[in-house]
Order: sequence, then structure tokens, then C-alpha cells
Amino acid sequence: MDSRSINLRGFAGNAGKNIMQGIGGFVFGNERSESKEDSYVERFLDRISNGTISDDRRSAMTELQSLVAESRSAQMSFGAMGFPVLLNVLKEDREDVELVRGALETFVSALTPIETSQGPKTEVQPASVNSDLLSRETENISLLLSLLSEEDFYVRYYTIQLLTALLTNSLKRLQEAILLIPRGITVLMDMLMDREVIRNEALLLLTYLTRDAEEIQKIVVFEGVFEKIFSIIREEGYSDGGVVVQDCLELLNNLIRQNASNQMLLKETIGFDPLIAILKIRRGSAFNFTQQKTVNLLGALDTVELLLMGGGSSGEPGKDANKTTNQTALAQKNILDHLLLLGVESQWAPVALRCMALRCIGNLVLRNPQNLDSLASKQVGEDPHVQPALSAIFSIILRTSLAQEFVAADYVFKCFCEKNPGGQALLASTIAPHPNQAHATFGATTDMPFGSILLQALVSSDDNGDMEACCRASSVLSHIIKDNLQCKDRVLQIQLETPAPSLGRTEPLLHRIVTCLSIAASAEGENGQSGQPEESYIQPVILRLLIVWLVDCANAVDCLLESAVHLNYIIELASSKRYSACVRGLAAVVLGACVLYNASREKGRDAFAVADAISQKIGLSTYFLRFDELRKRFAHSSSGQQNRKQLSRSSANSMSDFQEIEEEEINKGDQHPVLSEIFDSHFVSFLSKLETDIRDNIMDIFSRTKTATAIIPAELEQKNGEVDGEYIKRLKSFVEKQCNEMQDLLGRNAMLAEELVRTGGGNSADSLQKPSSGRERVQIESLRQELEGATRRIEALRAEHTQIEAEASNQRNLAAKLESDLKSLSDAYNSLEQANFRLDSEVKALRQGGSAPYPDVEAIKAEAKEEAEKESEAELNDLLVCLGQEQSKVEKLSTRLAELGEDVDTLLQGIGDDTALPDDDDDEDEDDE
Amino acid sequence: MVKLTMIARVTDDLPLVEGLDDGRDLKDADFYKQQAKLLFKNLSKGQHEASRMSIETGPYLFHYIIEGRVCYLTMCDCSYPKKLAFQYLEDLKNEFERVNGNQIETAARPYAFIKFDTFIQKTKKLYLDTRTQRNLAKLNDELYER
Repeated sequence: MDSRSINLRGFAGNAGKNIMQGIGGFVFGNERSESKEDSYVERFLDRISNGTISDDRRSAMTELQSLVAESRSAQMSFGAMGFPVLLNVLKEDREDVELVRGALETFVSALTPIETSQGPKTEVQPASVNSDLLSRETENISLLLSLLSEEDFYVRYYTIQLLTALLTNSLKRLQEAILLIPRGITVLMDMLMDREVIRNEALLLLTYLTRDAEEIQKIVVFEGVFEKIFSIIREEGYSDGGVVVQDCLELLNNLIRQNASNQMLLKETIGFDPLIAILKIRRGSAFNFTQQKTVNLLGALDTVELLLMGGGSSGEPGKDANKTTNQTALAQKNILDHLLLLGVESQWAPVALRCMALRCIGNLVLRNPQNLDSLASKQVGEDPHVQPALSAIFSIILRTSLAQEFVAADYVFKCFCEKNPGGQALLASTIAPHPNQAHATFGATTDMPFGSILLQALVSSDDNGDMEACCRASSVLSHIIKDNLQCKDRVLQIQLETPAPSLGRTEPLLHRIVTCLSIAASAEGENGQSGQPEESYIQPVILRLLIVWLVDCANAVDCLLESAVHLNYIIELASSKRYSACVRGLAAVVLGACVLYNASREKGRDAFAVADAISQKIGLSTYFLRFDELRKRFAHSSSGQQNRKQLSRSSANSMSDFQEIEEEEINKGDQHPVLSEIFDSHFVSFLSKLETDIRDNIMDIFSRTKTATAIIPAELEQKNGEVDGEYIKRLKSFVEKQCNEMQDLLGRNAMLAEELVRTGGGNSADSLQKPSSGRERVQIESLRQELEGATRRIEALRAEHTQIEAEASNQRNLAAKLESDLKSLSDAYNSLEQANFRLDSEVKALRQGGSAPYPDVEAIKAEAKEEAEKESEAELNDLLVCLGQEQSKVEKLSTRLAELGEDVDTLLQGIGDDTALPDDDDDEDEDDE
Repeated sequence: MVKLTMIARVTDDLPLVEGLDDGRDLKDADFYKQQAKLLFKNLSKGQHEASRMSIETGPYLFHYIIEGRVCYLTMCDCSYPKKLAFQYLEDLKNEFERVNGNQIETAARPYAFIKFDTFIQKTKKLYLDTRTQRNLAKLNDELYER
């Protein structure tokens, strides 16, 4: 143990140690053996990791690979310790080809499950754990992809096998990793061009890689995968090729499944010719269907079906356009001939192949006018035994002992008749008794027209009591008349001789079918007594025909109700526990259709009479329960169908898986596969809508009284001696009373009907009780009257309460108004008071403000005046001083001039002009003042 | 010399092994390989009894041994001794049965035993030269038997 710990630290570090502890918890078995193998694995890893002699490392690798290939515990040990060592070899020892080969082969062995009878089933798979470990790092995937460029064959071979093993165990993680690696997908696609052995492995890898991975699908298609696929198919010999052709078709179907753009690319680039080439088989090659050939043809038919289903999910706008385009393109390649050869003319072909081909025929013609016309006019067989294709398919329906082949052939008629009134009329027009019918043997039908064969099958119970033919013919007839009133009326006119021809009477076909239904019911009862576990589908199919016929066809309802026995019989079907929930539910729907689409006014046959019969003999609550049981039954069937689809989606890579899928389909459960197929989602939703209409209609009927003529009571007669006036008054009073009674009855009926409809859907035990007896009804009536009185009193009290509440409301309103007025007055008063206060303040302010400025103004004026005077005096003084000085100068100068002899007066004249200027200055001073 | 080697399951002509270096020195290798596959397909439609046979194809001969519902086939020059060719196939048969005998019936994919190619290559080298001492001894044994 110490040695192991040392090695663990050296090789795997903490992560490896944790993983080892985790894995150890899952491992069971011999401790001694486990320890021994752990020891061997450790020794080999040590020699590989630390050895210096190349040969010794190689031999250690070889021994390690052998050990890991044989032992689960060795696989687990290698996963715990060995990954880093061998990954290092792949990185560092690329030149040693033999060592790299060995490392890759060891990885493949570590990721390949080893079957063992020991240990519990829940034991963890070492291969899965190891795949999870290896795929955690995208770097590891990148390393593996780089090895695909190596020259050595075995390196490439084991690398691809290793990648395929990783995809098998960790699909999503590997898909994401490869998407992230640059040119990752391109490298893988290049492997398809490698030699055959590598190519085969790469092809298998790609089938896993492209599963449910839209991004990868786009890249692969862009890389030209369609060309490569069909090139390989051609090289391998089309449907005669081996499992490689199967892989090619698997890959192709992955790419086009619910992918409209890829389907379009396939059609526009390769075209559908190579696909058709796969489906071509030689006529009369009776012993040519090996198991692999069958698988290959089924793969090709799966391709056809995917194309015919369109590319998008339901509701996508482009889906229908794509589907129609594919239908037309395939038809132009004459695929109908090949499908008819596989499905109709090659009765030696395996049944799965025939059924698939028939389904493809149905999808090919569905809602496609050109293809529908082609099928209608197509002939099959070789001269001189040529017959119409539809007749041949109908022969298969009648002849085959295999239920799934009947379902597949019936599907062709369903698709042919859907939204195809012309085709329906074409088929219905031939439905007539054949002149040789009375003496014709059942087998010799080649020279009879389609409709005569159909009619003979419908009434075949007269000959041998076997109801299978009648049932299957009923299914076809239900397609012919569905949503087609003209065809319904036409078939309604057909009259058959009664079982006692000597009487010369005839009966409508519809009556004969009801007779067949009763015969089938008797047989069902006998089978039930014998403990047959599987429920029969015969009665449900015949009942479906009746439902389809009655809907929207009042004439059919009238015809059915011509005989009271029919109504009573169907009521028996709907109520008796001898029959399955499916039969009871469908019979209930037939009864509902007799109410809903009833236009008769004849007593005992109108809608009211039927509803009344249902109410009296079954009880409305129990009657509506039948619908709930039927709904649950179909919900269960729907989930079953979903499982089947899932199985077919993950279709087989090998024949053994194919066989397993077949076995799984066989063990689907108690419900009959025919019912799951025939009662598809479309029919179930149709029934659901019909149920809603039936419930509403029955409620409406019970809400209205019967408009029957009432017997005139004696009171209406005028008494002897009674005057007209008094008679009129009495009549008025009587009529008034009658009207009141009528209103009461109407209300009561409405209430009753609503209650019944509501409780009809419940699951409580009370709903299962039988209709009430008369005595209980009387008690109920009495209680109801008491309830009515109480209700009236409550109504009066409620009215009084309402009145009081109204009065209180008025008073409350009045009080509110007064309060509002008071508030308004209060507000006004407050407003006035505020105004008064403001004015008073204003007055005070004015008084105080009025006295203060006045003295100030006076003072300011006086002060200003004084200042002005001061200034004037100062200025005046200055002038006087100047004037004095000038005067003084003049005197001195005059004196000197006189002494010198100058004329002083002349000079003084000029000086006088100058003295005028100061006077102007004085004026200015005054102005200033 | 030995040009091409293939081993296939007779019941459904599923290839089990092919010599990987086949065609290295062979012109039109793909054509002759296709011929071999066609031969397997024809054999799968007939009886599957143990047998040995030689068939001409152009300048070469197909030699094959059927035993245990497996067909061992090789293609050689016309001049290559027939006895040596069948001895070569015997050696392959013995080793193939010893190593893979338990899994032959359950193989689902072509070339499921491609690893056996390593043995084919080794054996092929031993039979490369008709003039080696070992091969001469085999021929002498044949002469002595006559």
C-alpha cells in the first residue's frame, strides 16, 4: 500500500487520488484479485513511464493493453492511475510508432465495456468512468485529432476507434469539444477519403457525431458529406452492400431529420436519383432479401419518410412547402413504382419492409393532387394479372394475417382520402352489389371492381362469421366517407338483400353494419370469457365508421334510428361492463351524434327522444363518464406511440440492435397496437371536439321543454250559461297559471342539466350511482320546493338589506355634503379673517411710515439749501478777490503808462470788453441755484 | 510473390481482415480487390463446404481455402508455386483460428480483425522468395510424396 501511495503521488497527484477513492467505493468483488491487478497495472505503468530501454517500454505497453482488455478492475485501475502516463506517451513519444499504437489501443480497451455475468447490474461501468475522465479536457481531444495526421495506419485506426468510443459514452461533451477545435470536423471528414478500413470507422464515428447536433450537421454538409455518402453507397453496391451502407443511411438520416435546409441542399445538389437507386430491386427476386439488405432498404425508406414529413417542427411555416416540394420531386423520379414493388408486388419481401413502403406511399400522396391522381390511375402486377394499385392494396388489407400490415395498408387509404373529395367519390362510385356476389368465392376477387370487393367484405359475416374482414373494410369505408356528405348519402342509398332472400325485403348497408357490430360483440363476449388478454380492435373500428358516418349527416342518423332495436343496442354497448372502456366510450359518442345531428321531428326518433332514452337507461352522469374513460384511454395510447417513435429515432447500427428493437416493440403492453395506430392524434382531437358539442347540445335539450301538443283540459270548455266575459276572465287566469308553471319548469330543467353536466366529469363515487327512483324524486321535489321558499325569503331579505344600504348610503352622502359645506364656510371665514388682519397691519404700517419720512424731507431740503448758499458765497468771495487784484494791477499800469505818454482811455476800452465775461458766469451761477 | 491477402466470412461475405500493404507493388490494386470481394459474394451464395480452389484473373491467380465458414484468399503471380500459396494460406488459417476463432461468428462490422494484419505481414515475408532453403524444402517434400 505504501508503494501504491508513492506511485499515486508520482503519477496522478491529488486529483487521481480523489478519483481513486471515489472509484474504490464503487468497486465490488475479490479484494485479493483487485489488489493483484492494481499491482500489475502499477508495474507496467512504471516501466512505461520511467524505463530507458525502448523494447522494455514497448513490451510493458503490450502487457498493459492485454490486461486492460480482459479485466474490469484493470480498466478501473488504469483509469485511476494511467491516463497521465499514456497521454504523455502520445505527446512526447510520437516518433516511437509502436509505443503510440500501444497507448492508443490501451485507451480503446479501457473505454470498451467488458461483459460480465458477475456483480450487480447497478455496478458502475469502468468504460463510462474512463470516458468521462478522458473527455474532460478539450486538450485531450485536440491531441487525438492531431494523431489523425500520422502516417501509420494503426495510429489513425485506433484514434478513430477511441474517438468513437468517447462519443458513445460522452456524446454531448465530445460534440462540443470537436466544435471548439479549429478544423476539427474537417479532419474527421478527410478520413472518409482514407483507405477502406479507416473510412468505415470514420463513417461510424460521424453517425454518432451528427446525432442531434445541428451545428455539426451544417459543417458536415458544407464539407460535402452528401457526395461522399452516395459515393460509398454506390461503391458498396447499394442495398446489396453490407453494414457500411447501413451506416451511410444512418448518417444521412441524422442530417436531414427535421432539417428543411439540409433536405433542400440534398435535393438541389445530389438530387434524389441515388436514393431511388437504392430502392430498385429486380422483379421476381424471391430469395434475395438477406437481413442486411432488409436493413439497408429500411434505412432508405426511412430517408424517404423523413423527406416526406418535411423538415421543420410542427407549425413551422416552411414545413408544408418543403414537404410538398419533396413529394413532387420524389414522384418525378417514379418512386411510386418502386414503393409499390416493395410494398405490394413483392409479397416475399420481409413484412417490416412492406409496411414501411406502404407508409411511404401514404405520405407521398397525402394532400398532393398530382400524386393522388397518379396513385388512382396506377396499375400493378404483370400481364395478364394487372389490377389497379388501390385494389391491390385493399386486397392486402383483407388478406394479410399481420395486423401491422393491415395498419400500413389502411394508412394508404387514409392518406388517399384525406382532403380528396374527388378520390373519395371515385371509390364510392364503385360500391354496389356485384351480380355474381351471391355465388362468388371470397378468394376470386380479381375481376370485381373495388367497391364490390369492399361491399362483399363488409357483409362477409354471412358466409363464415369471421368479423376481421368486416372490420378492415369498415376502416377503409370510414376513410372514403369522412368529411364528405355526398359520399355518405351515396353509400346510405345502398340496399342489400336480407339474410332471407325469399321474403324479397332489402335493408340499408348501415343497418347491416350495425348487425355486424352486434355479431362482433357476441364474439367479443365469448373471447372475454375465454380469458383472452388482448382487447379486440374489431368493434372499435366499426364504431369509428358509425361515428364518421353520422357526423354532419342527418340522413344517416335518421336511417340508423329507423329501427328502435339499433338505439337500444347501442345504449347497451355504452352501459354494459362486458365491453372495454374503448367500446363503451365510442358507443357513447355514437349516441351523442344521434342527438347532435338529429333533424327528425318524428315522435320517438327526434333528438329529445334519444336524449331521454340516454337519461333513463344510462343516466346522464354515467353517460358523460364514458367520455372521460375514453379520453384517458387515448392519452395512454398517445404516450405509447411516443415511445415507439423514440425507439425508431435511435435506429440500429447493427443487426443485433435491430432485433432488440423488434422485440421491444412486441412487448409494448396490453393495448392493441392496431388501436394505437388507427386512432391517431387527429381522430382523438376530433372526438374531443365532438364530445364538447355533445355535452352542450344535451344540456340545451334538457333546458327546453318538449314542444308536444298538450291535451286540452276540461277547464277550457265554456260552461253552460257562462257569459263570454266571465269565460274570458277564467281563460286568462288559466293561461297565466300555465305560463308560470312553464317558467318554473324551464328554470328547473336548466338547473338540472347544468348540475348533471358538471357532475358528469367528476370521479366521486356518488356519480356512479344509478338514476334515482321515483320515491327519491318526490322527496327531492319536496326539498326543492322548501329550498325555493327559503330562497324567496332570502331574496326578500336581500332586497330589504339592499334598500337599507341604499338609504344609509344616501344619509352618508348627505352628511358628507353638509360637512363639505361647513368646511367651505370655515375656509371662507378664515380667508376673510386673514384679509382683515392683512389690512390692519397695512394700516399700522402706513401710519408709522407716514410720519417718519416727512421731517426727513424737510431737513434734507434745508440742509441742501444751506449748502448751496455756502457754495455761492465762497465762489463770490473768490471772484471778488480776483477782481480786486486785477483792479490793483490796472491802476499801477495806468499810472506808469500815463508817465510814459500812452493814451490810457484807448487801452481801457479793450479791457472793458474782457470784463463782460464774468457777468455771464454770474448768470450761470444763478441758473445753478 | 504474394500480391494480395484477404480473409472473409463465407456466410455473408463480410471482410474480416485485409493485408494492409497490399497493392504497394501492385498495379490496379483497387480493381483486383474489388474482384476478390465479388468472389466472396459469389461464394456466399453457394455451399459453404470446406474446399480449396484456384481461379485465374488476368496475369494473376486467386487461391483460396474455405474452412470453418471462413474464406482465406490470396492473389499471386501465375509463376508462383501453387503449393507454396496454399501453404501460406494454411499458416494464416491456423493462426487466425487460434487467435480469433471464438469471435468470428459474432463480428458485426467489416475488418473487425484488422490487427491480424501484423501476422499476415510477417508470414508474407517468409514466403517472399521461392528459392529460400525453407521453401525449397517444402517443394522437395512435395516431390517426395509424388
